[in-house]
Amino acid sequence: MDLRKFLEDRFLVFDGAMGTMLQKKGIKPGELPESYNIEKSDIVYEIHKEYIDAGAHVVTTNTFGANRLKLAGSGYSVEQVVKSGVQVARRAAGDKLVALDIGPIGQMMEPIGLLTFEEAYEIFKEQVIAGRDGADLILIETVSDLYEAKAAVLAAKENSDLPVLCTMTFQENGRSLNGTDPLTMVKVLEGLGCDAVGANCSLGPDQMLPIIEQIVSAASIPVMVQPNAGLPKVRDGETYYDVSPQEFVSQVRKMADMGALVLGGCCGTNPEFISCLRGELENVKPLPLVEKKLSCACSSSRTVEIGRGVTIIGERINPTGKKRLREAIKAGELDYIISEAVRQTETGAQVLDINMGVPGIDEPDVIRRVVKEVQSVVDVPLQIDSSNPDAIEAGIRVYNGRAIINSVNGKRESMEKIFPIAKKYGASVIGLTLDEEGIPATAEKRVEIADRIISTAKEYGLSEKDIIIDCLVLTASAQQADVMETLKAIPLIKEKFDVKTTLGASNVSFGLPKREIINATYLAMALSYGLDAPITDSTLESNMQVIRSFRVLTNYDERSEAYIAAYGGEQAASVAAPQTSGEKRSISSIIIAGMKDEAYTSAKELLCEREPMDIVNEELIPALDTVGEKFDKGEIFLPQLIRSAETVKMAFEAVKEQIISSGSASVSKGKVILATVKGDIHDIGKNIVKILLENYGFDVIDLGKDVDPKLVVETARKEGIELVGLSALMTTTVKNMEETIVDIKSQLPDCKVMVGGAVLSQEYADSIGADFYAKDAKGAVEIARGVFGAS
Amino acid sequence: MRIYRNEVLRYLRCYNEELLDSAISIMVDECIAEIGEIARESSTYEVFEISGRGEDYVELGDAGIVLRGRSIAEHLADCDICAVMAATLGGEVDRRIRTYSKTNLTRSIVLDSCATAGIESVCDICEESIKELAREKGLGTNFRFSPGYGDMPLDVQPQILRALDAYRRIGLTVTESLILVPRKSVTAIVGFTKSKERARRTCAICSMNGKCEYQKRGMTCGS
Repeated sequence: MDLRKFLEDRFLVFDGAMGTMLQKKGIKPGELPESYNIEKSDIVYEIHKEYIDAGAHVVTTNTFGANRLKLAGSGYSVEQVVKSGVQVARRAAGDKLVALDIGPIGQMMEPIGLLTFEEAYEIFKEQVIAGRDGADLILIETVSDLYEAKAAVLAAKENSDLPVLCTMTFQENGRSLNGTDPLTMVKVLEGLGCDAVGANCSLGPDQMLPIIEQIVSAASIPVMVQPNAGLPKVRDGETYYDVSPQEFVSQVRKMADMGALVLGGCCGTNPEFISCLRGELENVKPLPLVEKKLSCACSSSRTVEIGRGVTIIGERINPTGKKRLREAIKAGELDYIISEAVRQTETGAQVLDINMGVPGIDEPDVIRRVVKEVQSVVDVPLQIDSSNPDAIEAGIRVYNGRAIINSVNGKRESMEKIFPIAKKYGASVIGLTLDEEGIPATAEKRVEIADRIISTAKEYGLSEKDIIIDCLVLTASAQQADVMETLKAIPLIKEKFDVKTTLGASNVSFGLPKREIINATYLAMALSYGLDAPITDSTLESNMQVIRSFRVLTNYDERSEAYIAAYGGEQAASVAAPQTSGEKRSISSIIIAGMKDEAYTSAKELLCEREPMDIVNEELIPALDTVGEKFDKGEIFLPQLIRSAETVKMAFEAVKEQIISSGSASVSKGKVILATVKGDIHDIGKNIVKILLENYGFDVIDLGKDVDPKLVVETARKEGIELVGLSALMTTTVKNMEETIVDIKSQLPDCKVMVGGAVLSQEYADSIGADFYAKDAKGAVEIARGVFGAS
Repeated sequence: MRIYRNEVLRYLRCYNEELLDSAISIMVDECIAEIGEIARESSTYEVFEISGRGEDYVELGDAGIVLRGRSIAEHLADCDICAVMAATLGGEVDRRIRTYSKTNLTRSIVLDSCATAGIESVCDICEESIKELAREKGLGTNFRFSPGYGDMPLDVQPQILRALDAYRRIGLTVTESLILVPRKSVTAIVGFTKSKERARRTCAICSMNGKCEYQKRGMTCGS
């Protein structure tokens, strides 16, 4: 159907609740509603028919939970349930429309739950394929997790030609259960090509009103609303809804007056609500759609408007010129990348650039894993940075939000590859003002290339608000005379087009000493030329000083609040004069006291005088042993033990950097794999074992939680691992531990396995074929020392 | 929700508070406040009639739930109806604990313990309203009995969540390996008893019975 055409002069009225109607007709809480499509299809038919008779333009199939996970054990396949659901709706609808209903899967997605984005996509795809014939629309509804919505929308778009409507569920605090706000939902789902976006369930029309207001003011596409008949109330242990059809309709009318175009009801509503709604709307004209222009990037819980008060794009997750990061990427050391992400957001970065450009790696795969990991820890939007279009698409596809692509340029080939990706997933794109002939020398030529990029982007259905132009910094050491041309181009471009601008500002100082001085000055200059979003290092205070003061002087930081918070009072003293207090503490006392912030510097100082290996063996490990003894004696407790372990880790980081930069002998005492077994998500124990093993000089490959036995075996084989540590906390997952051990032993008979976890014991460990039982983290260290024959 | 410092220290196995240094002590207070900020605590329950029972099972026909095991049969021996409840702190707590596990492991562990104390408190509050309902009916209640206690298997979790429509109401799910997600969540059965006496939970039904650090020290965990 042509949804836009339908909505030109009238509202589209959906039906009301299915679930609460089935309850009225006698379904029990334990019954599977979707089984009624097959077993009691007359009841489902009746409900649809009542809604059609009440005046609904659309009936929604009884397939809310018809996914393979919820149907498991029901004896019915997804295809059976969905097809019969569509058929019965079709029969009742007559010449009216049928919406294929898709509800949430009912499992929490990664990183909190175990359901991966790829699995979710497959589950939705199966529903779409089963229901696309016979349906006129696809309705994805009651979603709390934006990530799940993204998987469902992609599955619907990639496997059918039907219009896709998607509504999420919001709480009274104005966010979805997973923390998504209305603006972010709109920007992400609109970007993915949804035909309508909105809210349903959870709230009554009163509470939903402010949410709809936000959605309508953000959306350029039709807005859909299906409130409950009030907030659910409980009487005698039973749930009921108490808003009358008249009250309901008067509130929904307000939403229509704001601009909502697709209207219906959710839990607790019935045909009477729909008939009242149709009556109310009889002579009302819908508001026309208005294009809302906003240049933005979104994480799942935050929308950043590009250029509002200078948008800082963190540059540090880019291996160019960074040995330590390059090593981390090659070794799959995600923790290091995470720590860079966190450091940047803590210091003020509002978007993070992610570049994994290291030769010899599978870049799409690495970027996919890094995007998933980074988005699970920080809540700022990401910018996917690669010269490989496959890597860009891989990163953007699994990104839970609306990303920025870095970058496209004026070459035809580049635009042909990148713009379709940006359009399909809804991303902003950085356009570099270079083409087949390289970087032009003059500002005017750059404007020409920008023009070409912008007009080509429009051919692909993108708009100016989706484009961020990079006028390309030249290094002052090599092309001093041309440095200003870059800056001159910024206002020229901004006058001519409604686009934002960015610059990889730190490149200007390449090859000069004290780069931060040049960088800060250049940043200040670029900002006053109108630069919106510098790609820069937020961890460098000199950059942040420029940006914070710029925000004051441009009247963005009102009453200088952020500036004063950063530099007023006590903070000021520490910025002005770094502490040089008292006598120096030994690294051992730093470790025992758990002074994390001082360990790194202290180790750095020691490294000037002593060999890395000596420091590990003569300082770090003895200090740790002392901490361990205190713990055993009950003089300190778990939090203190862990804090000391983290302190050692900081010192180790200094040691590692030294080794990488000097190429001196590794201090590794052996490489150990750690994993929480398949099905299990408890990883505190594993994390404690990990940090202690690292403290004692072992390299740990942390495969995380819910780890497939295959991955353990593959990694062990690839890395030539002699010791694997497995953790399981549940009686239900110990069987997966046993399977993993069987797999390891059958394929790598020389590899030893140690196990640990609350439900395990020595006997249990023996019975499932483990070589060792680690009672606690210290036990695991002893085992590792034994296996590797270390002191 | 009310998180008691003592409880948190108990979960952290700090048996002697005097030995904690001020940094950790402050961190405990901060984490208690942090859980207060990020938790989206919610709970739900419904009351069901016991439709059938045997030595080692209890059936709640309307709910589509069969509770298996001798211990639950015993727990509900005196009851004609019971409440099935579920409570959670929401996913942000999991996310935050996970984030800290990458950036500040100590804080992650402290926050985890605060969350454990928090969910217990949310359960207490939910149980209060169940008790209130029982009182109105002239009945008493016994203690919260969760899957995994005694010999009641965990595989009843999906049935409980379905009967309570827990995903839709409070965003609670269960994995294939029967772990509740968000992690800081509880399901439980509370029996409506004819006697007003409140039965106590004992170590006998606990999965840690015999392995418990408190027992070794001659203490109890207090739950």
